[in-house]
Amino acid sequence: MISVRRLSKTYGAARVVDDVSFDLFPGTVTALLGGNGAGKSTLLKLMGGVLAPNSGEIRAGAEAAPLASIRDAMRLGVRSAHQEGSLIPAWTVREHFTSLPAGAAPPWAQLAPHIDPDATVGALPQRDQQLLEVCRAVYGRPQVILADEPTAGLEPELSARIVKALQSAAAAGAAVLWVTHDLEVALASVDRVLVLRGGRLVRDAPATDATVRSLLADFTGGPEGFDTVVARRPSGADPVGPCFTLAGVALPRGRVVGIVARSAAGVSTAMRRAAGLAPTARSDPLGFPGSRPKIGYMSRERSREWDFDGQDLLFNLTASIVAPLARHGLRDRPGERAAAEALVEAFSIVAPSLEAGVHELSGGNRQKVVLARLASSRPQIFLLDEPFSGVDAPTRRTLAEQLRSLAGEGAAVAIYSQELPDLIGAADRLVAIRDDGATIDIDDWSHPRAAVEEWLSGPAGGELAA
Amino acid sequence: MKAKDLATFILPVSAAIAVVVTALLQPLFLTPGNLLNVVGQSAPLAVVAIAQMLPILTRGLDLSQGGVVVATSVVFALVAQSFGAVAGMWAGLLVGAGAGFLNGAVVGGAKVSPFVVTLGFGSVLQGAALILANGQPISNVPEGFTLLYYGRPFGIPIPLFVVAIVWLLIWFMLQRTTIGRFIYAVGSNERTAYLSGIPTRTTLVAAYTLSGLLTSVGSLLLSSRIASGHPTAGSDMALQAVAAAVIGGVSLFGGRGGVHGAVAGAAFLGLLANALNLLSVASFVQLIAVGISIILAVLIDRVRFANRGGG
Repeated sequence: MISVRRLSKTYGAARVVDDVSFDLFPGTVTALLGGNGAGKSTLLKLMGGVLAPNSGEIRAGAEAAPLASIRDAMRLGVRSAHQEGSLIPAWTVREHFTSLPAGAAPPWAQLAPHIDPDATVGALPQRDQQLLEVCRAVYGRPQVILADEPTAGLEPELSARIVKALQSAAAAGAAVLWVTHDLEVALASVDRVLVLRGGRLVRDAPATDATVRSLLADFTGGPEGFDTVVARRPSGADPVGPCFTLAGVALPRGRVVGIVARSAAGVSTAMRRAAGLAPTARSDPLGFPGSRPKIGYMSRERSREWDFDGQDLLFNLTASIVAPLARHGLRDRPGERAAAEALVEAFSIVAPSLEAGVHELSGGNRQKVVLARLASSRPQIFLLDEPFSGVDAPTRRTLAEQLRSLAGEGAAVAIYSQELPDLIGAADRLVAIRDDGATIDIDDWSHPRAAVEEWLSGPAGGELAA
Repeated sequence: MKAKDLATFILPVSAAIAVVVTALLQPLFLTPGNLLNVVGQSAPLAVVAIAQMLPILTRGLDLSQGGVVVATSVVFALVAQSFGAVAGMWAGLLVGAGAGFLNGAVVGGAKVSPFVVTLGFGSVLQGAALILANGQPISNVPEGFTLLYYGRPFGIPIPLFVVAIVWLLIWFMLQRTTIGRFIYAVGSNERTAYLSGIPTRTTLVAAYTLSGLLTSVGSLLLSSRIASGHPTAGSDMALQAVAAAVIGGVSLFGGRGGVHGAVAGAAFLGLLANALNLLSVASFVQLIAVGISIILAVLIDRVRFANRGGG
């Protein structure tokens, strides 16, 4: 038994886990679901004592003792299987399991019978390490098991084994919380589902009450205002001529293309490759003939790839235009200041002065600063990865308008987001990518959301609509 | 907030305390002759500290400075013996610029930790200097060369002119040129700089090359002072230069601080060494004093920028 009460965790201005409460009971398997960045992993880390909450508390065990550290978690029988391995690479398999009772079946017999107990863990393939991670979490009759995507990337047969191991741990009296993106499997094998969206618990229900489609609706926001979105599709056909492509999606100039995918379908990686942050074998990651186009990329890594830390607003706004404005390497400082003032005006950035530290600005304003800086160098193509997460509704609307006007000036704009309502509001054109890589251009602008969900909930790897 | 405000005042306050205490104990300290002496003695370190500041601003480090100092000194002396002091100085500067370029190329091109690259390269240069000099100081350098350190046109020591020129040029570069802006951008956040279209590799190569070149300038001042090409003198200057820069408020987290701070830090260390000398404190104690100063400075740096780059 483990109880979570009014738990919140914030990073700067972002509330990653927001006032979450629930209990987990012995003998049950509960799935924790949600889109990317919904707060699932953070919640698990809080429950495992790895992170400390900003408010709220966790209690576990028969006496409902407070759990505030990894040490508490161990003592109270709360075990975690993390995404990033908690195994010790230099140890052998056997060394990871202390005090094995003589004669008893080794803990890995069920899950990974093929593993050599004397093999060094670091030398094992990734999937064997993943299996061991689960072995360790279920070993020794724990009270609570917290499993963060233990089946990610594994073939169905191995995933099924892990699910079975979690179920039998529950049958033996554990309360199991399982994070997964595989909605069909989750619904077929758990007792209860919890859904997080933007750090808040938006569904807590028996699994039998949920469908894949209703879960996807939970992921992407409430139904309010959805089907009333005015589709602002530009009249006429897309401009002709060479066209950028990203993860198989065509990005014509002058258009905002919204990309939605049911799970990590490689769009983020494709964007990073195009921006030059991830290695790629292709010299033209955007499939564009000729010289490399100028790219404005807004990363989802807002804390690490957005700002010039510790510098002022002026510095952050003008970083891309210092060189173009300069003559013979000498800066044009009045010109920079004028350009920064124009950007503040154009992107309605609210700040005390150009000399204000960029970290004094709110999250929404920091985002505008990033977009303004990208726009200042006039790229031919904008790639935005989850630009809507963590900002309030008015800022989202402003962002959508600004992206449309950048497209109006001739740029190709691609937005990848799980926030379907915002995507529908911002995009001229909506593309959905399924797990099997199949894409569809959403044509039904009278009910775009229904069209997207129907496509995404279709059978992964199933027959394609021609 | 209070800890941060306090941190900003620690350098001036501790400098003032050192001056007052020393002046009370040793009247010679505040005489013009001695102060000019301090300035002259601090000059090589001031130039080397300015050099060190450049990689630190890019969130890097140049620990090859000790090697650059001795290699420059030895190469200068060897070339000067045959071709004269001027040719020797050019050769020395070339050694520094070349070493800096290689540092920058490896750090910027291969994305390797500057700590390891420059430490390794410094060791190579120190070994090379010892081999070239046969392990001995080369003392028969042209006589006029000592003027670089001891010359006093208009009563002002030449090292002071050198520091002033380097100080002004680097200040101008950092504040008024694109490369200066790029150095701060790369140090603040290399990823963001890259995504903003800033040539991060070129910036790193430039910062390290300039650092090597200026380190050689500092080395020539030092060689002039001891009137020889010396394969070991000044081999500990990298640590002192880092200390001077950090004491002067140049953040090891990159992107923060400037040339005034580096000069002030070098002056503080020069003052400290002179005060300890006048008070007849053994020179070995100075090692301890410098060590404690740098550790304190790094702690202060941590307090000042505690909220940055967290995660």
